[in-house]
Amino acid sequence: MRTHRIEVLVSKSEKERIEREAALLGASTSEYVRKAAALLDAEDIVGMEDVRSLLPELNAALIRIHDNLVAAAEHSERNQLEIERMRTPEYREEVRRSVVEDEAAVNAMISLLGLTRPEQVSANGKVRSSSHVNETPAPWNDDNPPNGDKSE
Amino acid sequence: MSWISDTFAGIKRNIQLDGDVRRLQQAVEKMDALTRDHEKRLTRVETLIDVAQAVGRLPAR
Repeated sequence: MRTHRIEVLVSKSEKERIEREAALLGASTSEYVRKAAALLDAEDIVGMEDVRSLLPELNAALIRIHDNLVAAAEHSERNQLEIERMRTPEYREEVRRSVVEDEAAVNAMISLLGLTRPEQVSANGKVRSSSHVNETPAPWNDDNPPNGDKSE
Repeated sequence: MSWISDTFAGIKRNIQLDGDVRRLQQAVEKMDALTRDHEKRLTRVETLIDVAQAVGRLPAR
């Protein structure tokens, strides 16, 4: 039961604004003022100024967040396209040409894989001696003693 | 805590998020560069193996 009255002095423009807002809500002026007063306590009214002061910073931060996320997504998409390009036969061919010119790297890989270059293989299929020890050793026995000792 | 305080705290968290997203973007760019570099190296090593296998052959036993 509402039996008490608060009389508040307002300016003409404040009264018009309050009545306009109340009309927008389809409420009476009294109902609107009661709702507005109930919505905010003293702490809210003090804090509202802090919130208002942070709004420009928030807007700027949201724009930066958006820009940075878009930039990250675009960078990632460009990177994905670049990786897809690296998987094309054209790029592989480009790398192949560059690798073929790098004889030292090819030789190192041949050695690493335990393979032999054709020029190191003689007509009978045996590997010729080179600076690397890659000939096929015969097993030690009476006919082939260690250190070539055949004195017996 | 009043709703204004909640709003205030939310706004501050959003502002802090800005720095986190910036760090994330820089991390993504670094990771992209590393991935691209790995892809290049992998392609070179694969090609090197292909070329070595094409040029070389197993030594006779």
